[in-house]
Amino acid sequence: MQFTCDRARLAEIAGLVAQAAAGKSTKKVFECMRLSADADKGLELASTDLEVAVCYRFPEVRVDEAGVEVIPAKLFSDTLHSISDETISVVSSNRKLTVQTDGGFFELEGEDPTEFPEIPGFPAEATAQVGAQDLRTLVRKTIFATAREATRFALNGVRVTTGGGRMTFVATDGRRLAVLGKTIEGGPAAADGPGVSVILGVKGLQQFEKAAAAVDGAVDLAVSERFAALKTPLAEVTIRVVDGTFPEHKEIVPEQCERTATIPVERLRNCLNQVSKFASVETQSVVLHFKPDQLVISAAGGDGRAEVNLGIEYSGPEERIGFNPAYLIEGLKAMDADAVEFGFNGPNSAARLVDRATGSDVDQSPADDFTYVVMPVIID
Amino acid sequence: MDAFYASVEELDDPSLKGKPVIVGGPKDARGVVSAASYEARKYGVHSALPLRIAARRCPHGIFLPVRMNRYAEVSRTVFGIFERFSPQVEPLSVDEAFLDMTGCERLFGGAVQAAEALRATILDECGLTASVGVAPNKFVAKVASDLYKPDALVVAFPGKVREFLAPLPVERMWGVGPRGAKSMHAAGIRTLGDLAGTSIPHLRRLFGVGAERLVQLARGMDARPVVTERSVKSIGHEMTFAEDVEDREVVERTLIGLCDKVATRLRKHGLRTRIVTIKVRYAPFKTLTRRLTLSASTCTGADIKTAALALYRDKTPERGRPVRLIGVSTSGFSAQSALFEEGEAQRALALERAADAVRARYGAASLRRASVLRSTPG
Repeated sequence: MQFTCDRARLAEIAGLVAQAAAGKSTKKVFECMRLSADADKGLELASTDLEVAVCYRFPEVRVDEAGVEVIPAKLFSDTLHSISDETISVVSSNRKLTVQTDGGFFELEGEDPTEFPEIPGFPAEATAQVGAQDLRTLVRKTIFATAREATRFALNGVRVTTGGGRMTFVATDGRRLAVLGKTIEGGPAAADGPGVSVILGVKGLQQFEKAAAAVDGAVDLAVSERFAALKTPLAEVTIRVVDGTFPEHKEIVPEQCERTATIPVERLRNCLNQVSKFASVETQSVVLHFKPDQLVISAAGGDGRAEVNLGIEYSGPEERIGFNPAYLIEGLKAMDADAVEFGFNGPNSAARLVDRATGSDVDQSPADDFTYVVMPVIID
Repeated sequence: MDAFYASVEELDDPSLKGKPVIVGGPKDARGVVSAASYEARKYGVHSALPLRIAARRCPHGIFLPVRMNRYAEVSRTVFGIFERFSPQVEPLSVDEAFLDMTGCERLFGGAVQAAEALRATILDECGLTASVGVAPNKFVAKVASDLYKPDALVVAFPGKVREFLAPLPVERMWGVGPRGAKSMHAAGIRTLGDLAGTSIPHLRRLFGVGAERLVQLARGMDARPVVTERSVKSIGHEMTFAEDVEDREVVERTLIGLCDKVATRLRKHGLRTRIVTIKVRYAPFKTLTRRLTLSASTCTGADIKTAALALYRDKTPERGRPVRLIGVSTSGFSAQSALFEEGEAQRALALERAADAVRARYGAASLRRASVLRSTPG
């Protein structure tokens, strides 16, 4: 194998592919990426940890000699990022791959390509089209709400449901829940059929998001009971579905809220940030005191106390509700509208925050609203 | 509360009023006195005195069995009243608590007025007298409340605390028993005033590292905050067996019962736990503690029981050794409510909440897990 290309561009792709490879594995080959050079197609970089598989194409390469090598993914990516040459040459022989620069060379010890796991191709059937930016939004607005403790199985992932021309993402860690839906087009998954509902891991969805980043229009998506796959002009990402049961979000999101306040998102986030520093280590909570057209946020702990006021639109009776400020802040960070509709039913019931869909799309429907549900912290 | 158990007995049977009531059991039983009415105290009967000695000192005393469920019921009513007066209530025992009245001035017109209203409310709603001590800190308040029992209100004003304490005998000091008092007397220290004036190095030679704290308390200095159950770090229950137990099944049964009690308290306070610790004391005195961190927080007896049993079965290898005490405690609390319970936990929680409601109405013994009941042969 021998090729010459732009270093920065190759480093960028190698970085994405290295992230999909296994971090630490008992088999060295799982920590590797496969590099395939072809005179017509250019370069192809692929990796998998058997849960997520990615394959990126890089056509802008001059291939002098075709070939396939399997090399340590992280080391290759780190090497390309650490050097500053504009153009590099890569050459391989006897399973050794050498990156040649003006100043020297970097030789990577390769593995047997026949040992490398199979990278699944994008399925020809059951595909739909979703706007690349819509897909990124779906991932960005839900992924943060997944459970972080490693032992929660299904809750470590996002539930993705397709059907009826829509795709919905739901994530929850049992204390807060994020849900967002978008329109998808074409293919059986988008038709009026039953659709599918699967759980996808965070790592795979991050790869979806990154692969979609480079695309302006729509991307192809295939979701089946076992795999979810994404195809863009330059990348294919396949995620193995996580087994497990996921709570039904329609039973969790409050249908009605007795009271609703309209609050500026940015200001609310800043105030929560300021006050949260004073929350006690034990309770990790701030109190939101709703008054007519005013919200008072306060916290008190061993190191002191804080209280800030902000103007809101609210006309209901006074109410005090405790929250973990981190949950509110993370939800607000994911919002795009200037104001959030903050609905609640009392200090012991879930609050429902709605971020009304905005943007250039002409037919924004309420179904496109981002809904975030947070369970309060019980206060005295 | 004044002579709490005895007062409850007088409340339920007014004919006992003014008579020497001794709660603890029959006069020839092996146990000790749990409570004695003020009439009985005149004869030198006090709590922890063996019943047989009490019978000798007060032969005409009325000896009654302990009706803990009834006292607990009255106690709940009294604590309910406490909570109307302050959000910061630290229970000290079934009939004693600290109330932090900071910030409650506007409600009651000051701590003294609040104390008077509190005593009146308890008398009105429970028919029982209470003694209250009002002071700038917990130590002085406790001393004040005990000073002129029964039915007393004693106030130690800020700035006058040292004067208030000075004439009191050192026996009034928390943690100073008869032996400690004796050695203090030997050193010429008879009153709290004497103690407050003693140099700390001198006292340290006599009483070791605790000396500094004793002097500070005697000077009326006590910075400990009122700690409500909400802000406690752990909730647990333990049980000492009347006789050492070798049968692991009996120990497990007891442990399961304790787990349910702990879970009920967690739910009552809206708390969820992530850390379960068990404590096993083998005869004669070797104690083991083992802990487990759960993957998700819980407030169900089912989850706590699973963790506690796993710890007992897998982490306490001394099979066949007689067990003297078994206990379970939970910590790592969060008041963060859950949106939903995962899997089986949802049904367990619904069941246990229903059981809580039954127990709240009919008493703690009204509904228990079948696995907690003693199995009868045949």
